[in-house]
Amino acid sequence: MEHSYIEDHHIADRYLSGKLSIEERLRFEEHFVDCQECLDRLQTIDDFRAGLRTVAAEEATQLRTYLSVGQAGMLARIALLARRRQAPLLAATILLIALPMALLIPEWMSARRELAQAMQESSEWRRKYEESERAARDLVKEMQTRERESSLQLERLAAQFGPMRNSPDPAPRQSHKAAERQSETPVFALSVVRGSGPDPSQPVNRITLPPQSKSIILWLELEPDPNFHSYRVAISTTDSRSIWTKDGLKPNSKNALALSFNSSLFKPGDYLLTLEGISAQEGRTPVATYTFRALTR
Amino acid sequence: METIAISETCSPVDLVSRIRAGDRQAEAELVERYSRGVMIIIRREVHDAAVAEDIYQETFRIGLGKIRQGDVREPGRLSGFICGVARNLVIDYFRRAARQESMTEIEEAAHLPHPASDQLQELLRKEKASLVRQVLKEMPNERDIHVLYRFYIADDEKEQICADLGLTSLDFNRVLHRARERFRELYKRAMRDK
Repeated sequence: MEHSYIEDHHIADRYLSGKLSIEERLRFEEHFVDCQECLDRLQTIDDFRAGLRTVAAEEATQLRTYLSVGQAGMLARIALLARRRQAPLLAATILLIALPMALLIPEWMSARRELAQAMQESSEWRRKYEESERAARDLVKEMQTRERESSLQLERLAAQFGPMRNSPDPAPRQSHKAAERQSETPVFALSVVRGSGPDPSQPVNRITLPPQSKSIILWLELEPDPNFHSYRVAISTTDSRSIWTKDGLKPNSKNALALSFNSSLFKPGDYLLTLEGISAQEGRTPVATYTFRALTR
Repeated sequence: METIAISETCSPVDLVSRIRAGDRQAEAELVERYSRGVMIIIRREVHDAAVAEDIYQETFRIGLGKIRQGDVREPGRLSGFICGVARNLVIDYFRRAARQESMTEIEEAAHLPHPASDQLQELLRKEKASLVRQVLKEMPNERDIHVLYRFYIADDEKEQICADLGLTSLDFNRVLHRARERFRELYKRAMRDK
């Protein structure tokens, strides 16, 4: 590092006020650590800065004292100076007093404001933390109480119903099985009719209507076709009597249509199911035809 | 502002080789040569005098140990090596301090001043302030005083001060240079008179 560069760019001043970049700082430190001239320069600047700061601080204190003693005293001094026709001295004094004050007081005020705000925020956080902690403690207590109550209740129930467990009652089991059966809904996957056309007299699929079930499901697997936004299904008897029609059917996640029917809809006989795809451009397009025979057990 | 005489003939490379050869005089020369600079580097970061003194001692203990063992790869860059040791110790000090659970306790303990040293510092502070007053009194105009206040107290940038006060870069440099030189002169005289 050249001395002319150090002088021109106030490197030593900026080093002491912490304004150098890290790179500049490291370079300057490597230089001055073995340079008497720069060490002297740093020492002078540091002392001068310290002295100047002391002067500024003392003047600020003096001003504060003047203010606390009262404006009258200050005015008297000013008047005295003015009477003595020492206007330049008066101006210099005012400048020397006012300038550091102007520089230091706003900084001090801002620091005080920030401190007050930080303290307020801190106490708010502390309050919130204490509240949360209290709530957590209450919750733990409540949980413990409930656990105790539950275990007591369990013990009481065990004592009360313990003998009954050893003498099973077959009746409820049977009714339970019946309910299970009742809840089972048969699903019939229909196979599509291939070839020139469907022959309702020779149905491909057979569905056996269970007497104990109120509903059945017909399962139609589809070929994915992005043109169709929905499907239409029509079911008719072999003598072309329509028994069920529905539009706007959407395939499920397995790309199939699951159609739920009340089993009473179907009497023993042969049926024809027609599936059509519905697209915005072409309207209804035949997709597949299924024939099935409904039987009873 | 004492200036320690340094043997200008001894290059860093010579100094390193002499220390490696076990020359005790060379070790004393190294400490003398880098003493002030190392202390400035440390004191810039560490404000507590006792801690700074410990780091300073440690810098030379570690530095000399490494030189003796031949761990200085580039003896020509001895200054960089010494600075590096000092900086690392400063960083290490702050790292350890940060690990402490209560920084407040450390700070409080660290700032307990020694009464005698405090009195001396106070005396020096007053002396410097008095010299600065003298410099300010001798300044030719208020604008120059304003320059000093803004640069050294308010930490304003040079460009901003120049723009605000209608100064060229040269004018600005001149104001600073004159004030500093005058201060140095007065300081030297004051030291001589004592």
